Amino acid sequence: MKCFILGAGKGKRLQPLSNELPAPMFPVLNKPLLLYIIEHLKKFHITDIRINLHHLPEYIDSYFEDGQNFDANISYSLEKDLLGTAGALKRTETFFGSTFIVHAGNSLTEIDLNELIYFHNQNHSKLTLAVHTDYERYQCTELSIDDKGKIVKSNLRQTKTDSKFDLIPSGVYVFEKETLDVIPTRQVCDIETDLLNLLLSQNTPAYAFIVKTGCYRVQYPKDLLKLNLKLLNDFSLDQNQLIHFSDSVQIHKSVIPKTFHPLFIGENSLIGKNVEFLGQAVIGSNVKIDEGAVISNAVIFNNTYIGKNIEINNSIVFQNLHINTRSDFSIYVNDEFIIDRYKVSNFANSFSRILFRTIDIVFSSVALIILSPVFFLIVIFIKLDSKGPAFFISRRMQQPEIIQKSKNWYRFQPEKIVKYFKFRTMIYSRENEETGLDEKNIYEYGPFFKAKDDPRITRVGKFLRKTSLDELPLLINVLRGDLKLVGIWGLPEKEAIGIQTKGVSNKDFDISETARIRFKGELGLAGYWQARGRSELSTEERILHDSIQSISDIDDELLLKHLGEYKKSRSVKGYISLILDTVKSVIRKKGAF
Amino acid sequence: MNFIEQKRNDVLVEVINLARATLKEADDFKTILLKAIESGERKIVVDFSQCDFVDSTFLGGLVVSLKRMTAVGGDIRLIGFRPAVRSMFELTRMHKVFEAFNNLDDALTSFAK
Repeated sequence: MKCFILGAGKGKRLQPLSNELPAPMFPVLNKPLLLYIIEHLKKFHITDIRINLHHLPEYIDSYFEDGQNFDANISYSLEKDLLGTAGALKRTETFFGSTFIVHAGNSLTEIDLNELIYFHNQNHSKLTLAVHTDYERYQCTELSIDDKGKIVKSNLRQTKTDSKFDLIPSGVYVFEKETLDVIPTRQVCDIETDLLNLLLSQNTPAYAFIVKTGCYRVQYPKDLLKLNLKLLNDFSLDQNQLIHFSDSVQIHKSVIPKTFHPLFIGENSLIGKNVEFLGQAVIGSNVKIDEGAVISNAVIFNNTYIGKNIEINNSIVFQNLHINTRSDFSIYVNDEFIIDRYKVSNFANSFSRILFRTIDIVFSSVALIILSPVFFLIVIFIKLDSKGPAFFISRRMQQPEIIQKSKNWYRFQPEKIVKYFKFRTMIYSRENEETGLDEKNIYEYGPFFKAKDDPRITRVGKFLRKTSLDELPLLINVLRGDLKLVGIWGLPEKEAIGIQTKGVSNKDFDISETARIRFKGELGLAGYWQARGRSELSTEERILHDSIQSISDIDDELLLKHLGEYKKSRSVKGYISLILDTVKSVIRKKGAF
Repeated sequence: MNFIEQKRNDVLVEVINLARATLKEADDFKTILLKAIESGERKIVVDFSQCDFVDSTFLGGLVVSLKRMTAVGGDIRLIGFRPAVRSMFELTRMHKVFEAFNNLDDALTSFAK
């Protein structure tokens, strides 16, 4: 019996991983997924295999060649344009015998193919789909069957999450050659949708074979992570051994006694001193994990360097990367941006963090104690002036949700919100209403908003804003550790999202990239913009101050070399002088209204 | 003199004669550039060759001027980056906003095109 493997797809849902590697070549315990498929077919003496290719074909045919090294006879059907999964079969019609198997190139199963074929023959089926039950699919063909397994209805279902999908195709099909006659020539046609519907409409018998054994279809990057970790777990149980690696691997002696999760390490990889594995990990070949890195639930592809003390959790790290930043629920694919520009926490930095945090705590608690009578008075005035609570919580963003994509890289960072404590300066419950004040915005373009004479502001509010006393409760945020004394001014959600999505530009002029640097900085009370006149400054000046403030926040030795005098702001003296500058500016009532 | 002006045909060349271009001089510089744009200059070259450091206020003023200039169809181009100044432009991604040249001749040629 012959088998046709669908290896041509562009893997849209698997982007960005599929941009540089076709899905059948994705590593599963450091071997290509397609190799598992071929090994599985061989168990049932199916060795005559044709693979269709289109997207990055060279990765597949240069690995498997004619199949000799894999005890199989492999040929290829190179497609210039894609005609869908069924269209691909039609093209290479002469290859097939009377009954044959079609296998998705992204599907790994433990299906008993003998049983599947027996079921197909017994029912005189013209097309049999192996099906299983799965969760967390976004979009899927779902089948309804009668008690014999005959398909009565197929339905393309879409759902958000968590709902259970019954009877969805596993990517393994049994065909009769005559079924190909139904497929239109030179037209896009997919097996699970177009062809199946055609057969159903003609009352041609199509059956679903319910699979009880493992079925893993890699349709989203997350599936690849899950599949790797699942197989690693099974493999470790099977071998009764936690850590799997060959002689070419070097692991520092400090690592093994502390490793309690299954680990799979490829050839020539190096694991440095005190590297911790807090969860399972599959590590490729020629990977270097430097001292003190912390890895859990991760798949790391070949030829990658993980920097010192870097944490990688729940992530896929693509090949040929140099990672120097913490990763959480992320996929990194040749992200030039993260390569040398990010936080590396070493001892000196941890020390300075503790030092600055101590300054923050001492300063804010002393200030809160001294200012407590002022707080008391302000609360009374607000209460007397207008109805409603004395305090107001303003949701500010250090960083909106960021998804950066380009041809070669992809990066996702979840949004970070901090609740700012302020004195209420507006009429209660009007703070969030649409203002209709856009004309009064002092910024002529761009994301920032600030209006003079906002009608929502109360009498006491006007005074508090003028004197910036409305910001005093932010000292509580500092004490709580939400903010630093020195840092970027947190933006309201709308403004932050505006910078991220629309950017800051008009015709012929675009400083969006500069503006987005602010999302790397930490939030704080005092800073360059705050000390240099705030609302007196234009959008561009504000952006420059904020971006430079953020850059001086980033802990990176390489970066520090280029910071020039801005290094000063990283010293205690610089930190305190920025606080004093800001206080001075506030007292002079510069740019506050 | 903190800023030295010379005219090369229709190009105004503004040399920053300061080792440190910071907030102290930023306002003056911004005023000079904005006035020049107002009086009809459309091609300005700013020469940083004497500069070892620019701060955020100074850069801010330069960007404000560039924005004003692009709005009237002109351009501000830069020359004479020393390493620290170049880094500052690169770190802030400002090197993508301004066109910079190695020397005055290159900048003048670029304007002549």
